[in-house]
Amino acid sequence: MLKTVGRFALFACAFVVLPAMAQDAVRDDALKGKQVLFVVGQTPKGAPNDDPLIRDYLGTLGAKVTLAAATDAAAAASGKDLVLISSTVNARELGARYRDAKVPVVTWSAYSFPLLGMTGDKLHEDFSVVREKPFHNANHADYYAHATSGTNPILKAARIPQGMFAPLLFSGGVTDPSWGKPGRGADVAVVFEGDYEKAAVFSYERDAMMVGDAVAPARRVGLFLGDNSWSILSDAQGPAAEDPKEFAWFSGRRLFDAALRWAVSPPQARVSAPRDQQRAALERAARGKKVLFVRRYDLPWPENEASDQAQLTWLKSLGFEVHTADHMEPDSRAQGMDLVIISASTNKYKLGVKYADVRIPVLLLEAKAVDALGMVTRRRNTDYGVNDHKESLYPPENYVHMVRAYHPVAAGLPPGQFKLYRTPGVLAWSRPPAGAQVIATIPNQPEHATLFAYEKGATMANDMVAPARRLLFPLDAPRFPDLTEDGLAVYGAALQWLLSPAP
Amino acid sequence: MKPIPIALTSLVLAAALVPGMAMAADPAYKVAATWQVEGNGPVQALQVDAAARRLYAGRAGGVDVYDIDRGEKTGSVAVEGSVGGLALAPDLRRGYATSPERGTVVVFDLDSLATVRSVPSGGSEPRELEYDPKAGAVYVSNAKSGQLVSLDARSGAKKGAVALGGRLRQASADGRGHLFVADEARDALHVIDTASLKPLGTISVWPGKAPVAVANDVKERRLYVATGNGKMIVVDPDPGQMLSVVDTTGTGASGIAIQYAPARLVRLYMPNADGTLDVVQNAKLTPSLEASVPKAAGGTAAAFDEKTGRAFVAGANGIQVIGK
Repeated sequence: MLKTVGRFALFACAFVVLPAMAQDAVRDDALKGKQVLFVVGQTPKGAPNDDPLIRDYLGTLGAKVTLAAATDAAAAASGKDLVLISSTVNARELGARYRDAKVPVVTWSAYSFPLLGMTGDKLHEDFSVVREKPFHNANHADYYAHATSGTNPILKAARIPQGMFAPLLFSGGVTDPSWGKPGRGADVAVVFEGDYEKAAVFSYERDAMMVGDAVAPARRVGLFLGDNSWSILSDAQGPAAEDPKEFAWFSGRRLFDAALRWAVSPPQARVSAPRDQQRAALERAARGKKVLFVRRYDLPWPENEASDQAQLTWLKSLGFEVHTADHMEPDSRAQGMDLVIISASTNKYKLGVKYADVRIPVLLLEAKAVDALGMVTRRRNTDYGVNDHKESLYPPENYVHMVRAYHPVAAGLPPGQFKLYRTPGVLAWSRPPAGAQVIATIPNQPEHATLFAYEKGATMANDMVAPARRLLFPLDAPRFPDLTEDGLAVYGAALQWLLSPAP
Repeated sequence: MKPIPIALTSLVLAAALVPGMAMAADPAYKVAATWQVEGNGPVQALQVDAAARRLYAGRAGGVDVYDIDRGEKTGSVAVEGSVGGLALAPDLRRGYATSPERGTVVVFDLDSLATVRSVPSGGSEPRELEYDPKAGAVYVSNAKSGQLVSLDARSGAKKGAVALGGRLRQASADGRGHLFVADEARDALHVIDTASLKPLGTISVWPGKAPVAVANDVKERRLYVATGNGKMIVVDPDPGQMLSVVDTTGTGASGIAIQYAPARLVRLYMPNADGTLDVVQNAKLTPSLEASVPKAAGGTAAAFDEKTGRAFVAGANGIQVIGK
């Protein structure tokens, strides 16, 4: 009996500490019975308008749709499960209504992206409507798109694999799609032209940092549709639906459905457990787990050696069975282990591409090796670099900007700035691809991720697929003792996330 | 991006949903002539043999044959019961007519108009027929039993059958091995492999409901589907999805006839049960309602003559010749 109670307590505790593990399920019938506020406008006389079709279509999915005009009060969203904002609305009239609504919002009004805090506000830089006449070639290019990573929740719900596909049916005629350039707190599901900064479908989880310090009050999704795009969203049926490649290729309608279904599904909850419970949960997770700590033996720099030793001591205190390896040893040392930690005391040149393909989680602390492990593309000081007092435009730093406060690795810290280290020092930054989950960026460097992770199966740099979870924690060689209490909590949360089962 | 007051929102959407409501009858289309039909009950099926300058009209008791240019009846084929569907195979000099009440298909000679044989339809309430020259087959849509039956086009012998269920209406072959069959009960098109007669899947015709007739633009790879809720649905058969919707004015579509001029499908004629004839133009492959001819003939079937550019619409009042 006590054993059963103990198991139950362990199970319950795990859900308190790692609530995000329970998410990710988007039901096929998620829209059934949902109250949807559909904010629509007019198109010029004779110009096509898919709003009526969309309204009727939502009805076929079981949603109860109420129409609203741009000038209606935001209170219209009260009691609703979802607000949809069509491209037909006058964004000037709509303004920032629904920006603070604690109701999921899905919009394909590109001019509303900045007003809702989802992108910056510069036309053709932060968002764009790719009109057919002035942007003929780009417009036609947007009949093709790239799904960023099979682990993206909207793509998973839509059953769209990573790769190229056709969201719009070319034979359907002319339409004006749009794109946005969201902040690094977004999940970018689909991009045009393979360009992360031309996101066709992007989303923010509740509590995610959007743009300009706006925090998502509920889920937010930006879509690429123009006034008449919906009716030509590709949709494999008949024999095409039986062919896996055709099914994946013609998947625009499934993408739309999935975006809405994801939006109304329960959001991830931030870690709410106090620190002592987090520590206790980490110790339970660590118990009996084997960690390979890869470092450089016989370091000539005492502070680096001291940092490695402090980490080893801390890891052992958590209950890990810790093994060490020199960076010149083969990565077969990872066999039988549960986790690999690659210390920043290693030398990237000596480490090479070892551990890039190991099928167990890897915590990378040596940020210069992000390209070698396939986590970031290859241009140093462009795709990745450091804030440092030397050889960098960016000064030493000890604060970071939490953009994914809902992520388990955030350890319950709120969105926004927090102190990772006690003193300014070397802090690594990267521009990882869309498959990454960026947890923190560097203040005033919104495009520079400093703490980020990949889910198992996520598409990393150069289309490499993560063999298991991967996480970059920006812990330069001597800095472990300089971690703040919050910083240490995040490090612990990172370990726990790496060891928890992938969904 | 102009704002609209909330009170207008529903009206705006309603108008957008039914754009055809704003369209008045086009005076350019008029009834050029009315051909009286003998026998009981309306004409339910029409077929044009443009090369032979003949119009075939299926009615209660048989099929009447008209000289298109003179508007005169020149012969008939006796069929027991009412004729529910017609198909012509000019290359084989064969014609086919269904008798829904009797559950039969009558095969007749196009030259002599003599009955070659009468065969069971393989199901109940056989309606529309589709001749597929590539497969050498005639497909019978048995509406009530949901059986699609393939007959040898030359002999009339049964080649095969597939149980699809639903309420089967007009079928259309693409000549590339696919047959699309309207299912009035399931709001879908069945896709059939003509070689094996096996179903390959279904294509929804939403937002259309109760599809009854299909026109197939094989070269442009588009299907035009007449549905019972006042919509013509354009389908791209490759991905199998709706491309666009044309809201028509009539209700209860009963057929579809197409006009090529000369190589492109430029116009579609859709008779409706309420007596209207909707004319959909297809300029630059963008279909839109061109006209709605009120009370054309009762609206049970339509056919088109490429040479004269006239449509024939059948109904309780006989056969009306519609043109500009």
